[in-house]
Amino acid sequence: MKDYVIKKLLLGVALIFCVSFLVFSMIYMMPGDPASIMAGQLSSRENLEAIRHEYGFDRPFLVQYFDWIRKILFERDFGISYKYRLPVWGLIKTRIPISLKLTVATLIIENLVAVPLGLICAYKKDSLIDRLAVGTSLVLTAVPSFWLAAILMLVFAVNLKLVPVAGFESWRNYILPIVTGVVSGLASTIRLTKSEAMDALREKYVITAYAKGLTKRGVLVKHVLRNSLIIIAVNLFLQLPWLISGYIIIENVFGIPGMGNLMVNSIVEQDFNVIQAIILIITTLTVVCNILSDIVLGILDPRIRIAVTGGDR
Amino acid sequence: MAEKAAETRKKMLEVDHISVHFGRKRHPFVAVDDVSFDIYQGETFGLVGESGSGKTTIGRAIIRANTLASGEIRLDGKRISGRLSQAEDRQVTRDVQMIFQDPMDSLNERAKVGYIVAEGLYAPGRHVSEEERRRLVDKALLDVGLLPEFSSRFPHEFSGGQRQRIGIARALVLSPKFIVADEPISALDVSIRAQVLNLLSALQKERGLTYLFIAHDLSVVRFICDRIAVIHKGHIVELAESEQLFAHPLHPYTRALLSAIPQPDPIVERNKKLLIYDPSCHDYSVDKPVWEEIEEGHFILANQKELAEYRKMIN
Amino acid sequence: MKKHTEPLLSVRDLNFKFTLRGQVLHALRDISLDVYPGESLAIVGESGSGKSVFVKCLMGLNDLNGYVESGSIEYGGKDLTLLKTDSDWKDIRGSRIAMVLQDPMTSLNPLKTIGWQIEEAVRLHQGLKGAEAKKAVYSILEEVGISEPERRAKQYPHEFSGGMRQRVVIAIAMACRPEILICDEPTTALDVTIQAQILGLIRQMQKKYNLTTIYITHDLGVVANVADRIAVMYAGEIVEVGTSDEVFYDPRHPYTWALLSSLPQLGVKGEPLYSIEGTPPNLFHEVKGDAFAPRNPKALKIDYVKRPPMFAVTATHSARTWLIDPRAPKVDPPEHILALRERGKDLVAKAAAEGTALYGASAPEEETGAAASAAVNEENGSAKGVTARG
Repeated sequence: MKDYVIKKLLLGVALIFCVSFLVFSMIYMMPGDPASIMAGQLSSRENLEAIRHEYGFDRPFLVQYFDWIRKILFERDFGISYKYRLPVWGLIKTRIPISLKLTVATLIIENLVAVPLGLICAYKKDSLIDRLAVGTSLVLTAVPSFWLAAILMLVFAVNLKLVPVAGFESWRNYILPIVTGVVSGLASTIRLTKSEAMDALREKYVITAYAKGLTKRGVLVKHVLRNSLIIIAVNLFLQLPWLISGYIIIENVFGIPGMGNLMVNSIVEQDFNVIQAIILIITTLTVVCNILSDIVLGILDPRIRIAVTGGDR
Repeated sequence: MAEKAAETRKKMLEVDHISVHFGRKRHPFVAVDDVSFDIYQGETFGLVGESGSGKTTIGRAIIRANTLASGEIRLDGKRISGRLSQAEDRQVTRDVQMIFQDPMDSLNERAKVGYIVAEGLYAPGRHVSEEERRRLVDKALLDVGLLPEFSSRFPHEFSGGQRQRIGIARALVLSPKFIVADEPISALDVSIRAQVLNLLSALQKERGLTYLFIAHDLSVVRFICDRIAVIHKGHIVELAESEQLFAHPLHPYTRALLSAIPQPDPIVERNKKLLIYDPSCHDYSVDKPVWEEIEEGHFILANQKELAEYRKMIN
Repeated sequence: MKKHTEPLLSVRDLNFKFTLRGQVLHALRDISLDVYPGESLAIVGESGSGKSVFVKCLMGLNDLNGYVESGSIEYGGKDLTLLKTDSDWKDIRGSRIAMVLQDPMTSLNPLKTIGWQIEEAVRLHQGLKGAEAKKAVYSILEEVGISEPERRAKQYPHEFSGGMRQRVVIAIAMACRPEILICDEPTTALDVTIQAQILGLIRQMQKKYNLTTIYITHDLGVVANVADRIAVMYAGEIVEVGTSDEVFYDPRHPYTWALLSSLPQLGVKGEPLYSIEGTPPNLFHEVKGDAFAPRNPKALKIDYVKRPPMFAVTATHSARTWLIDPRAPKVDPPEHILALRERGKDLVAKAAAEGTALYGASAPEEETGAAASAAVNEENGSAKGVTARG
């Protein structure tokens, strides 16, 4: 198991480096000159050259890249935001917890709703509950989240005044964004849970369990649930990065100063250092989540656990 | 090993000291270990063993799906293993075809029967007109006892036996010389098995095909095969003409296999003595086993001491 | 031979149907069968013959879209067809009837240790807990031939070979301490040498615990080894039932003939194997006459019109074919069957002499309509009686 985790971690580190290189080179090749953004439209040629030299934009590409990486790794220095003229890390640092709080809360609530619903749908396939749950969640998923966010805001914040319109100070500010996030992810999780549970129900070992004399509840809890939960646990980790990118728009609608909000602003302002930093953080998170899901899978599924440890033969 | 009969018969396929390894280079799993046999033109050669014995691996090595760690396979005297030129590769694909075990899994569910059967004809380097292709597919379907109209249907519309016929038609359409049949009937119902076995025999007679018939069921192999090789854990332990093998099984593993065949006869079953093979009965620490022709056409893997005992048993 | 009077389990005129996408599949058609205590009964049939559906009826394990249309299954003073809920089945499923499923590769939960899976049954049916339950698990494992039970109990199914897994499945069934053990194709997925060992193990368990076993299989070779009595199923009905000797050495139904003759063990090399052409009937449509008639080259005219009743051959042997009707023309079975009959002549004669009741045979259906019986005399071709009736 240790070897397996180490292997996965090494692979993850390599992957993050590849991605960072891609991100850096993509932004390097994009049109738009950071020096002219910092200097303003009407700056003189000498001034631009000075800024280029000061920030090192005149050095070769690879030198710039490794310098960037070195600073991130050892000094936690993601560079300076051209727009705000502040260190990028300082900008991001305050926003990560906000985004994470939002996404983790969404994830937990969504799964608490969707997994039991999915199990019920699988067990009572084609019943009213099944059709209602699957149908409604599908319709809700089809609704674009920014539109849903706007409608929710209009109804609950503007008209009914149940929650504040925008801001991030109180927990009540998070209700609507979380609801929006939960709704948009509901259908896929319900469907995943349902299909996993239905596969498990169709397995022969379920018949063995019934033949043993277990009651339906016993079979469901001891044999079906545990076996379908593996995929759901894995899915939980894989959903996280998706959610964060999904929140880029929702955060903007609700004016929550998370990473998504910052990212959109930075794109508009061509604030390359910030964009690079955020993309790097999101990809790192994605890779970490993938590794975690692999490890969880290894822990939960003995077939994999033994395949990686060699087992006892 | 000069065998009189062998000189008069033409060797179709020669499997020459082949080994197949799986897994890591440093600690390979040896699936097939130094196996040799020849298959003569027009015969049905049975390869019998239990799951994990390496019988399917050998079949897949012949159709070039598994690479050899050592050794060579020759068809009509020409090497067909290892690196081949493109032209040779295409020729081998045409000459050697395989029929698979599970007719439910081995057909592409989304393709129509006509396409499944014709697929080999679409291979590059072979230009067949649309008309010709249709003619060949229709003929192949008719040959296996299906109707040409079936080309426009999907595999799921057919029963297990019919699907296996489709699988056979697919192999036949390229007019191969040699067919590897990997457990072609073990997934079928009893009454359908006979149909497919009869079909395979009839096709062999009509077209002079040569078969390698891979199976775990000795009773089927005895019925259809001319010669049988028994394989255990990657080694062939005994090879003989079918009737010879059944009359004088020598190797303890062969004897155990024979004793386990279920017979549709309660009297026989009641008096049956089940033999169990224990590999530790061989003492190969000093006296190493050799592949020896103990009587005409009857080969066995044994050491000198065992050979002496086996000779006594024959006489 | 053992002598029994009272059946342990008695199935009468069972009809079982499935609804599938609005269509009705008539899976079991008028099944009547007795199971006697301590015997081993084999139910032989091809896929789709209804043999699996039948045994699942005994445990209430059929899919929810299936239902008993009519008939009864008497067992232990209850009619099993009336049981609906889990708690109704509680005393039967597992506790009195246990089952060994076909493919050991998929019939064990891959995520639980085998010790856990056996212990589950031990807890439920032997009422043991903790260390005692563990001990019971180890002794059962040893009993089914798994050495080092304490180490093996901690392992997962994929660490076992096919034969070993089937031993575990048997261990689970035995942990239930059942009265009846149903073995659904217990050896089809296994190698021949392993198959023989597993069958031996089941027989050993049967002797030790005085079990009644019901085998389901398509393999007549396996049947000859294990069965005291055999029921042959085709297209949802039992076409022939008798002692093992009777069915092998004196089969009466053309389907049994065909099944036996098409075995490669009985084939002659170089000659085509006897084969049954065509495919079984579609049970979504009502079957008219003898279900096997379209595949039987020697079918009588009446076979296409009127369904034959169960005719008694001896007290223990009956078959659902018009050929047994005294007015039927003499139709010779295939050569292989004659050869088998020659081999088993003495046995069959002895059984007949022992006479009336080896087992209390089910009474054959009595009814044979006048017009129908008239038609029995007519071979393919001239059929006055039939047309008169039709």
